[in-house]
Amino acid sequence: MNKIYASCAEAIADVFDGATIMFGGWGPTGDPENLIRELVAKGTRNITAIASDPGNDRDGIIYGCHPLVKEKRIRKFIGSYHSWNQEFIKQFKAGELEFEVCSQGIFVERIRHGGNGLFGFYTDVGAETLLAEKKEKKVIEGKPCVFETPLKADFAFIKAFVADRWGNLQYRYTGQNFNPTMATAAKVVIAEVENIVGVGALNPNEIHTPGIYVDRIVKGGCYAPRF
Amino acid sequence: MRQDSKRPLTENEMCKRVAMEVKDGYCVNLGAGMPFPVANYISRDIWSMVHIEHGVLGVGTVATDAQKDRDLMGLGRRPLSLIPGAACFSSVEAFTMLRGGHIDLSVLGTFEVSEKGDIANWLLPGDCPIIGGAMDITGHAKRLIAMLTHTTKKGKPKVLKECLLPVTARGVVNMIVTDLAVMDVTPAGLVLTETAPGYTPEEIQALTEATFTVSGDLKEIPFA
Repeated sequence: MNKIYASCAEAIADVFDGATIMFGGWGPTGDPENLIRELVAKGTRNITAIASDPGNDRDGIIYGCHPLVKEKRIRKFIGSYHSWNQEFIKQFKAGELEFEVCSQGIFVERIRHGGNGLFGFYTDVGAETLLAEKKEKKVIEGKPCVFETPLKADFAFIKAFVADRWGNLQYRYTGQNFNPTMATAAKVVIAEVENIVGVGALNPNEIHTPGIYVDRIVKGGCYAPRF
Repeated sequence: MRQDSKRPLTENEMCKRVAMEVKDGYCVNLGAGMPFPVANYISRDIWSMVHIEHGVLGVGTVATDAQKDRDLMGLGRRPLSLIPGAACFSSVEAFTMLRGGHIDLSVLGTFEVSEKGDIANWLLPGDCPIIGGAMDITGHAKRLIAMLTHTTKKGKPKVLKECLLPVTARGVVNMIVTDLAVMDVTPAGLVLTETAPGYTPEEIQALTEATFTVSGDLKEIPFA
């Protein structure tokens, strides 16, 4: 078997219009920036994006899903906040983009359930807010709770620091964020990494995402400055 | 500036005051925006760990140029440093710490707060929602401090009987720190414990919609 792809373009060749795609990363760390740039170039439209935030362009430093937002490729966004992305806010206010918002811990837990065979959970988070209105409710341990459903995707685009050729992944610092969880919750998981090493080169005690979850690995070509 | 001259606190002074609430052994979660600089003022004489939802327990200060790392950035795209003993982890873990009640103290910025401890910090009418992790945090930290300016720029009170904006959670705030006052939220209502330099309780009440009682131990906010 071979999970290594020679280019981002080949790694995302079968991504289709209207696909639901998870994007790892939070703000300026851990985002699969080379895969996202390639998705813009490919012209994929009508995307349902599942990501913590839509990224941004701050003083020419571009990160996260912003390149897709800018080109209006996203129809629906499921995430936790707008990250002060003015283009995103503009499209939301104009009704061009649907935004399903949930608190970040619930967001990642919904993905975790999508990936581990559970069918959702009750939580008191947000139970007293406008977000609870259309959700199933139940009082547990005396607290009003709402039911949250799992999130799954057709593809997950994730970013790791290093992969071995079987797909075991390691992340660095805040670059980990949503990546390991998203790696479990999509039909096709594409990992963009900075380094690829041979099988056996990684210490088994220091692997964050075991290779079983990873379908495709591609070495990112360009990591633009972020400072 | 003389201590006795009448003036509101700066944001950094508010952070300094909040930092005095951090006790030895505490794990403290700091929200984006106004609360983040609290990390700079926590006493070095105690053991404490600063948690941020990006997946770090043990945040130091903002990184120097030599320390900057592309994979270590937090709130507001700030490059971070770590302290010895720090740990980095996934978002699942970061929110297990928060929601699971493992965090001793959480500090959130907010638009409004009520006398019952309700907090409203995720939605302005007609605007795009901005939750981040705030709903996970409220109600699950062992103690929650709300930080905000006492009034809007136009002078409207933000410490209210009932929040006017959509609430994030109800009855969760334990302490309120503003640029004019420090208040405890108690079952009997708000208690004014400290004032900004030169302000009287009457002046503060005039800028507060909620009513409060005045602590017998009322003092000026200490800056030292």
